[in-house]
Amino acid sequence: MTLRLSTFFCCASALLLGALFLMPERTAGQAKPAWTPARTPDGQPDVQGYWVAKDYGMGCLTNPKGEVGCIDPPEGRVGGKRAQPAKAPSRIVDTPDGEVPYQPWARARQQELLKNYFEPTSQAHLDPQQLCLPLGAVRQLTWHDVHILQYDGYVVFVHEGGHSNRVIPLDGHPHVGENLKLWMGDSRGHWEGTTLVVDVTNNNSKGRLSRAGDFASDKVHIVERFEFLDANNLKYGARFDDPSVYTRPWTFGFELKKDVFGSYGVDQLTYEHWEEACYEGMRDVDRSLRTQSTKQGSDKP
Amino acid sequence: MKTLLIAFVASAGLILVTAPAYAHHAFAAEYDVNKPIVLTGKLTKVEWVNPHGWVYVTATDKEGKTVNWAIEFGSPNAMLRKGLRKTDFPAGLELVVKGYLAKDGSATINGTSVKLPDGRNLLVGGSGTGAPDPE
Amino acid sequence: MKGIHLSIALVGILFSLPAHAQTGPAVPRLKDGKPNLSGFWQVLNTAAFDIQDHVAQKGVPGGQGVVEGNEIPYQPWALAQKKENYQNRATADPEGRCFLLGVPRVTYSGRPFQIFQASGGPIITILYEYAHTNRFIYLNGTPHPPGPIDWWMGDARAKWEGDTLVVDNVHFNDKTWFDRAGNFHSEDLHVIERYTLTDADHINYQVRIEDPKVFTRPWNMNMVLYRRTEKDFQLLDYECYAFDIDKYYP
Repeated sequence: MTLRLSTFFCCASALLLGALFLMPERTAGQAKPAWTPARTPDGQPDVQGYWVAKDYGMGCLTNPKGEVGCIDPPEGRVGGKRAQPAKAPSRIVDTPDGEVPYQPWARARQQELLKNYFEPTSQAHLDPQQLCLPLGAVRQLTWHDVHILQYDGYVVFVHEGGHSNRVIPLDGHPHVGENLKLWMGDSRGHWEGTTLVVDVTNNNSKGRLSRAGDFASDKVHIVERFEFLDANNLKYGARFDDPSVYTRPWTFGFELKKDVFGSYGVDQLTYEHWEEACYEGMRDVDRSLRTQSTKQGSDKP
Repeated sequence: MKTLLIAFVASAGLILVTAPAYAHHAFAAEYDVNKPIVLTGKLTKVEWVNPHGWVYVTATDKEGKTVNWAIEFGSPNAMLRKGLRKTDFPAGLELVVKGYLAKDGSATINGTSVKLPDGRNLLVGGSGTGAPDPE
Repeated sequence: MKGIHLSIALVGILFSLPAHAQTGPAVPRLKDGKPNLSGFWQVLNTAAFDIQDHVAQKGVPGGQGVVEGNEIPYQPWALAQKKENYQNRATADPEGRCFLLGVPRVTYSGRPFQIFQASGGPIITILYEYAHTNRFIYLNGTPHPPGPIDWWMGDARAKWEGDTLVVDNVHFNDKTWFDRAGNFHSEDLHVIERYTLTDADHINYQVRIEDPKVFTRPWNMNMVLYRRTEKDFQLLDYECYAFDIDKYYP
């Protein structure tokens, strides 16, 4: 018995259509999720817990485990010349030369701040992080760990370091007025599968982006993608768009894991963030500037 | 010299944070790696504060002058989580302090170890800034 | 005559209702049946300036106090200390140095805060606009960690008693005040807060203060928390840490 051609095409099309219909739903910019998350009461993927950068360091953007600004400090590197600095992947993930695409004036400013990091002579030379100030939405994720909590209609980040926090509403209501510049910016988020996409505007950009004086302006527009690869691994990228400072947009990216700063494998269900009241404990040495008598080379003990 | 330095760190059993820049500031911004110091003195108080705690020690220098030294250590939360409390550090304890001098000329040290007479190191969390142990 | 007696009786019944009963929308609840404290809250009183009755001064509105009985039962030495604090308040108040405010001062500091509560959730999170203070209110039955610990905001462990959230707070340092008038405490401070929604937009906030080092007996504060209902309301910054220096960070 021969199969009629029309029947064949009919059945084949039906099978093909059926297969397409059963394929997992795709939304723009999202790959098929590799894991099936538990859900919060309002249906978000449940990613609550303590998260910390996988390759931890505050050195410089191109090598977080290096020295500040990826240059040797004036007195020499800790451990001496024979010790090799550790290396971690660059956090500048999509520019041709691996550097922040500064306009020339901005590069000059960044270099000026870096030059004065070790011997600061004016207030502006002190990194805001050293003064316990909020670091801005992106850089704050690189310091110590972050406690991610989820409530109906919200994702909330509470950072132990300097007790900064970020509230990310998910209902899509508008940002606050553009003249309100905030230390951690103003966030609005939504889920695309297991990726949290956050639009961050209203940045006052006073927190700088590194100890080496990297910076954005208060006109910067940041779009973050928190791609939760599974329950314990997160790939993070923040797209910086600021035509007043950069020649093109660029992405600040790194990976995080479920863990806490300085420890490994704590029980996520019983660990607690404890108070870190940073500003109250600062002492003069934390904000002192160099004067003539205290500059490097002085004999004073 | 440099090889000995590394071996000393390994054998002393001190618990130091390994990466250079964990603290809220980089070591080199405030302290001088070329100015190591060792001193013996008496504990006057411990300040359990963030961003880093302080141990205050009075010591007498060669000229007989009493100096009140402030020694910076890491976040007190590391010590709290290990079960240590301020009552474990009564005033009057005799201590041997090792660290690096502050660049601003004050009597301030970035502490790498603060040892009791029995050899126990109070700084269980390390100074947090990655300063090495001096020879 | 009968009609008048009935009217008087009805009026009597109306006036005997609890003074704090509100007539607004009903108390919202989560799936677990608990009253939902989530949202933006703020006080309207002047306790930030002085928790007792006070007349106006330059820059300070007059206000009726929030202390039950209007008396704070200081021990004699402590009353002298409070008076000294008051004299020196322009420089001695820790809020003037932007230090964390402690509990319960952070509640009535005059700035809004946001409560986050999940059905059956182990942690109620409260974020305060003042210096981005946060508090984790643990509802998971865990005890306070063993002391002595000196924290600015203490440690909070809570449970429900009916429709009232009861929060137990210990492990305070002695560096915070209760207001700008110099009312203070020691490290032995023990604060018990009670949050009760009387309707969707009002919380009865009652506080019990215990500190045998400073006071001769426990004492209470009572006040109302009002919901911020403006469209698209949210917390902003109060980064007092940076007020003196942020001009250097353009």
